[in-house]
Amino acid sequence: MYSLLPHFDTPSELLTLPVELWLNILRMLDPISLLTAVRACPAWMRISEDDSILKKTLKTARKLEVKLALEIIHGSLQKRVKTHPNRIDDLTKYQFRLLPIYMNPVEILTRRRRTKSRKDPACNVDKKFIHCRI
Amino acid sequence: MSTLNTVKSPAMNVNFFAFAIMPNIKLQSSDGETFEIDVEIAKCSVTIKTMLEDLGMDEEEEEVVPLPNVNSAILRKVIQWATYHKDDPPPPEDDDNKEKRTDDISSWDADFLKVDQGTLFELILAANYLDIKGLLDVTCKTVANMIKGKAPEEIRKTFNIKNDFTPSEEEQVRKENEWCEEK
Repeated sequence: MYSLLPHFDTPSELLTLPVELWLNILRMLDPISLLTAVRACPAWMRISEDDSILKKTLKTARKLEVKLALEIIHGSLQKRVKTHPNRIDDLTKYQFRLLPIYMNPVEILTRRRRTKSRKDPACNVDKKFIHCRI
Repeated sequence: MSTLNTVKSPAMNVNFFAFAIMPNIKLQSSDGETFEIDVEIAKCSVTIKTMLEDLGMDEEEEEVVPLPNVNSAILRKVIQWATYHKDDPPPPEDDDNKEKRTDDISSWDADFLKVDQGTLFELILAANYLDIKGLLDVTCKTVANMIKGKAPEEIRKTFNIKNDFTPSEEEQVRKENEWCEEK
């Protein structure tokens, strides 16, 4: 059972909590916090995937995240169209419209973050959202 | 639960003092320290309450209840908490499907739980072992609040978690947002 627990570096290893207590704690989290938590800790992910309630919450969280990402992409696109109407050529518009169909919007945002291009409108996204990612 | 309620009514209070000559109980921590406290405070621990009822421990006798899973430092904290909360109504039953609020920690509890992480975890274990729902709730909420609103890296730092995802799990995290599911 103890192999399921998060690993602690120090003597505090003795203080790790049993799985049922971690479940108790994880169930108190809102969907997005839970999603962030399981991304931070493999042990939490393993125990959450085995728990019906947490699994359901995680599913909700992923849907929420996708929705949030779509809103952000949509918002930044609109802003770009407003501020630099000349720079948006038809091809860009076309690409942006098609992109979410082929790619998860969450992926788009994180990919853009990795490229760190300041000119990219999607870089100007909600910091809180970026925080959700590894 | 019923015991706690009856003691609160004035009429029963008279009875209580008439019959219970020694309303105190001795609790012994794992490191051998003995704490003498009011039986009614001790009974907020369901474990102790059941123990007293099952074993038919007489309140008049000088009984020492050994608590091999709790050390004196933690037991002292638990008693401090139980004493402050002795008049609280019993906590409501949990609804597993409902997300719990974690921002309703009273300021006294928040101050009480300003301890290092090790102590906090030991308090959770003690509250779990002694079956004190109120204390377990508030300590778990405190840990939940340490997770909330943080980035994964911050969470790892807070709890000293090693990033030991196996490659297949790494893949799972990456793929968990597979877009096709939403189409």
